[in-house]
Amino acid sequence: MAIEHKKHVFRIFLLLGAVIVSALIVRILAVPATFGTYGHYRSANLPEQAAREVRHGGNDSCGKCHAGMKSLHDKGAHIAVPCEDCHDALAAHIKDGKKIADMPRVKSVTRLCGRCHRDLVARRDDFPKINIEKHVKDQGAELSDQVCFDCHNPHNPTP
Amino acid sequence: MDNVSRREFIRKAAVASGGCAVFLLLGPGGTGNASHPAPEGASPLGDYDWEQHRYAYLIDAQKCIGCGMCVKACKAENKVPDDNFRTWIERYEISEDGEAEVDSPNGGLNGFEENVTHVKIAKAFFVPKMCNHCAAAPCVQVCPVGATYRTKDGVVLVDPKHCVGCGYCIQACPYAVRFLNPETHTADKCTLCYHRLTKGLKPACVGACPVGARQLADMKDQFDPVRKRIITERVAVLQPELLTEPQCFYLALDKEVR
Repeated sequence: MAIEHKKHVFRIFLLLGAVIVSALIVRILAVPATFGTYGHYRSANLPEQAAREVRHGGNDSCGKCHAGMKSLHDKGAHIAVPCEDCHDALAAHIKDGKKIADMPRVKSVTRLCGRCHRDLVARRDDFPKINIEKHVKDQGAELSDQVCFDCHNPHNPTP
Repeated sequence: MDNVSRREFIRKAAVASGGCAVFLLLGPGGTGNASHPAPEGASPLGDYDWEQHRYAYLIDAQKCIGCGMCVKACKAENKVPDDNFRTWIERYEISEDGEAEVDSPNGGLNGFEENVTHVKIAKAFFVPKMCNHCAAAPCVQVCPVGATYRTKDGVVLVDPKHCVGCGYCIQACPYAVRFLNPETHTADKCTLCYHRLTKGLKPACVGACPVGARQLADMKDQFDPVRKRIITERVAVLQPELLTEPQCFYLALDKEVR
């Protein structure tokens, strides 16, 4: 009788030990190294997030090469419109201080201007809104992709 | 062990299982915090000290002209896949009898071209939408693997290396700001341009807005003018009844906007 008891107790503890050891192995393999340092997440992700590429440089970065254009822009009514809104992000043009490509040409200037100035009913009335088709006709011009620039300089527009 | 009595057996078994429990609680099987304690005084982000900041966002819906430049800048800054949006613009056109027509063609990426309705419109406006970086974020609560979290400076992030792409967070978000990235097959959303914040730059959408409708606030900077507006003006949040504590505050929010 006594020997059989011993055997049963030994088996139970062996089984329990095996369960604990396998659970620990699974945990070590499944939980990433920096998990839980600051909370229930992998803190190594923080520097990974911070290391992503900054693609927009801001007007000052444009002014480093295009100083004349920037000073013209900064005197005009479009001063609040960042360069990269109408052109593209700096990273499409410059990499490590060197030009890698031309900025993409704006295909339809009329559409670009219309993004802000088309007379949509949802657009607030204290903002300069234009019925582009009517305005172009009133000026005796033909509606085309570049027509706005015939009269308006986008870098220093006069109303 | 000769002729162990029943009482003796139960007593020994209780002691042994108690010992196992103590081992499980205190040993390497315990909480994550015990196994990887935070290094004393060290910041996880180098020179940037995340204890010194707590970000919030202010959207002045009255100012928005619906140009969609923020959507374009967000796409370019974060290489957001086509047909997915980390921020977008909604247009509301509300008729005199209260019927609301809402649209967001391609998220407002290319602006808005035509009016939607031709009935008599009583009021119409644009509303920018994005992640609210909720202080009690449902998306963080439901993530089964701890891949989405809120940083100490108040930004809700997704760890794409740890995310399993189950999509629970996408369903849990009441503001529908999350999507499954078709390239990485993980959850994706606005990071408040964390890569820019940690370098002292503003998010791309804030920088792109030509009318100042989108602004970033640092609630730990008592001289921050945007923080002052948030705490002194009459701001609203989206769906406050859900108690998610959104940190994206709106000025001039209409009741039709959810």
